[in-house]
Amino acid sequence: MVLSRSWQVVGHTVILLLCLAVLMPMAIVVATSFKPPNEVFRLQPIPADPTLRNYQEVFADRAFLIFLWNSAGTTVLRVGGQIFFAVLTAYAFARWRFPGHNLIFAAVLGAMMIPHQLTMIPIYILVAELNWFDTWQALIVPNLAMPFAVFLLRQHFLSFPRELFDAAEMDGAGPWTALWRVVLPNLKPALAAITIVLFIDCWNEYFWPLLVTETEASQTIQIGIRRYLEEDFADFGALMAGVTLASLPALAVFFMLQRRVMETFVGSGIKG
Amino acid sequence: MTVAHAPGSLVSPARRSRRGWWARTASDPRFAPWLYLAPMLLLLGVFTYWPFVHTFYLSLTEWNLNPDQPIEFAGIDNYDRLVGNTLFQAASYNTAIYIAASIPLKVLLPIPFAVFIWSLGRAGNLYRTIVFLPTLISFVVVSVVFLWLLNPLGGLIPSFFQQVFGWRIGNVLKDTSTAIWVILLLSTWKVIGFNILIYLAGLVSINRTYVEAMRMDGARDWTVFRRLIWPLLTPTTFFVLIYTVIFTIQQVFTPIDILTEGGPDSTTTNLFYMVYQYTFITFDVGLGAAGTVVLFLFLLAITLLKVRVLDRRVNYQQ
Amino acid sequence: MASVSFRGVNKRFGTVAAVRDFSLEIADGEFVVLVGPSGCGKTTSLRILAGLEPPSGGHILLGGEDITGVPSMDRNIAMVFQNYALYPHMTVRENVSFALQLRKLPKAEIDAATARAAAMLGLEDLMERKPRQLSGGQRQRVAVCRAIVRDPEAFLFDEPLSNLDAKLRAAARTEIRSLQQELGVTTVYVTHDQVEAMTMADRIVVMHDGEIQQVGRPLDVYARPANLFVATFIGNPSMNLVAPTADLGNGNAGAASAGAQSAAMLGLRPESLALLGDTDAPDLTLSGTLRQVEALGAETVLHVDFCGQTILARLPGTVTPVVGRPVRLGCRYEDLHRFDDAGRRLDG
Repeated sequence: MVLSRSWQVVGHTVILLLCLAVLMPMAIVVATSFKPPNEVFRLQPIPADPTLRNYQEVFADRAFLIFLWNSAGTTVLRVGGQIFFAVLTAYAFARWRFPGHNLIFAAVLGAMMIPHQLTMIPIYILVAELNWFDTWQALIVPNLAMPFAVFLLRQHFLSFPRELFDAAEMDGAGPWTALWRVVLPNLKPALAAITIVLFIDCWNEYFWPLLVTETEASQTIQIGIRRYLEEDFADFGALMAGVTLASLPALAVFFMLQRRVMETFVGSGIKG
Repeated sequence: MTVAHAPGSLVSPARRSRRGWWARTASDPRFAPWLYLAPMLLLLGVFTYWPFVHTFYLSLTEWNLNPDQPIEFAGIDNYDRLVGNTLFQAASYNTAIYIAASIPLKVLLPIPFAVFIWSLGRAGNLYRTIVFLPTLISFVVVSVVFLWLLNPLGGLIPSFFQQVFGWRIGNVLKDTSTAIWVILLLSTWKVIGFNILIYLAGLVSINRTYVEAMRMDGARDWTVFRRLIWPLLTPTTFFVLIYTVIFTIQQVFTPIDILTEGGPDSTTTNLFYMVYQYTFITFDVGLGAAGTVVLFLFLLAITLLKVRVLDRRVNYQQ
Repeated sequence: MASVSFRGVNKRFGTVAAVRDFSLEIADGEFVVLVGPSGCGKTTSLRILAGLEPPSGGHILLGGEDITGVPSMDRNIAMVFQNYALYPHMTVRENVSFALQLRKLPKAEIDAATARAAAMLGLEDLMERKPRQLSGGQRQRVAVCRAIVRDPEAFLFDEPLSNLDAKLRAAARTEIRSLQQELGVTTVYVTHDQVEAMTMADRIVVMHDGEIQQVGRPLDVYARPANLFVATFIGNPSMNLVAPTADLGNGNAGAASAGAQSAAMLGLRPESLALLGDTDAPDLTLSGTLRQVEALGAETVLHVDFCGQTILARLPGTVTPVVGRPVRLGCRYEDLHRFDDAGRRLDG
């Protein structure tokens, strides 16, 4: 639909303002990360004397690297697990009809309705009882079930022609072989998009790591950034460099598959 | 014609299953689905359904998270204490404000943006991507950056207003009348692009021939919006409304924790942050669990509303 | 290669009986076509044989061995699906060799078998393409190729030609038939198209409502349909049915009408009717008004209004009568099919 000229002018102006509001803080952060300490509190946006000092400082900080390592390791393992279990579950629902099919599907989806906040106390106690406090598994294991991923994957599995299941079976592929050699290779784009959404969700998570991490043994980058603040960290140039680095992985995976990821986000109800 | 060399006998005619017991069970349609479902059901049982139920039990007990202390049954004592508590009252009040203010900011404001981007067709993709970016950035990063930008001592935002307009801006995060609005604006900044995207998904399903037909009938932009787009977008609007309410309760935890810790004077805390403080700061597990149950009832009411709205949404599309 | 037996096979979906008491012996190397309208249970029977659907009762034998409980993947039966079910992410080569790879055969053997099968279907130049880069006819050949490559004991075809246009379909019929004769593999072929059934089969099995109506060689079924369903299903245009009470003319009908009176329903194939001149006196005569003429060139189909029902007659293309005129149609007594109250054929 084509708007009239006057609406177009108003529209472009207002949305450019919104884009400015979105991009400004990001630009300031990135610009500041290249500023030497004496420029950090100056308003002028472009660094007069750009430097990589802040980044060197951040990379020289062993703790920062450990936070990144914890984030990367737990995110990869957790998202891998989430995808794996979601694939198995969605496959079961899409491939077979079995007694209780609908009831169990409702139970899996119903779990989507129970936000983390309502279950955190008993899980916290359980983690403490298992002596998992301040470990990677405390970050990973309680979050392995991802009903929304089951839901999205099942949609894709159902759109998969049933005759292909039959053909694979006649060719001698059992359900397991059919899953890995016939079904999943055909759903790569959908799978990639869901993986990216889960990755971003996990990478940016704050609340759960806040509860169960304590030291560098398991603290993630989000907790690390917060810790710098608590320590009355005054080197804002370095903090902005750290913040930039902490945001890059999520942005990078997003831009790998931008369009599909946005669509998947819409279907997920996850809001970063 | 030589018929003999049909593809030779490559495959022994082993009709009997040569697979083992496990392989046979794992491909038997009577058992296989359960094998595939088992991990998820186990995970959901242990980490969603059991804790969910257990929270109700904990809300009826008194405990301080110390494993050496016994868990004592306390009946509805915790609910009693909760209702009389000023923090609970403040948290409930603030939660209402968070939600009320979110409707114009996060639910209605994105609509004109979405409609405009939609009207641009493919040319709108760049706008769409830019406004979506905040979704990708963690709320911790957003909070930390704004904490620095708003710092009364040399923060860029106060300096900007000081130098350009000559206005003095105090510490907005320590001011009881402004702190909650800072958090609201930040959460709007974070979520507006996401909601625009949901509206765009709703708009895409509107057939553009309707618009053209209305144009042929002589309708102007505003008429097209009010008579066609707005009614067709209503289900999406309800959907965004519900998700925004839930989002607002959950995700503002991060800016509250980093920017204000619920203060000043409990003017920014909400029910979720209150539960966190009770349970993990003051170790009053029973009170925290009771708060969780109240939060649950609140979310349940919204979810039931959502179910009704989603039903409507389905009807609408037919 | 092996014989196939259905012994009293039943299949229920909930309360609906999809297949009832299905028994059939198929000889080694035979080409059998299951034909019937949609929902008659033919595809279900095929899927039971394939092992894709467990029967509710009865037994399936392959080469004399009971395979009722053997999972599909261990049956060594190959199937060509209606939509071909080619794996979209694999090339033609990968599609064809997939079953062999799953059997972990040596690579050289797989390559040789794949090449042989591809040569039989003339697919050599398409081996590196993906299914979406192929035409409908090519996809169909790949599906057949995938079936023959692993040298199965039986081929199953589930309406494999229904997605092809008429011209390709005719070519594919002959091709599948000659391929089957060359390989000598027992074949069960499901279709709703009686032309496929008649032209391809050694024997056809007419099914209706989950039950076998008649089994026999195509021409036998055509010439001696066992009941009213088969009579009207096989043959195009379908058989005319008239009540014996109708006025079947005056000719030398003595014996004819005596036989006819004992039947509950009479059947006359359109192609056994002839247009009569004023003086011809066949065994039976139908007098009526000509309502419509379909001149197809090679033949002409007449729609004749006879005692309130429409009778079709299929005549040589040279006949071109005028619509609206009264006409007389005649037929020989031997061409009359007679059925009893239950719709069963009456002989003699």
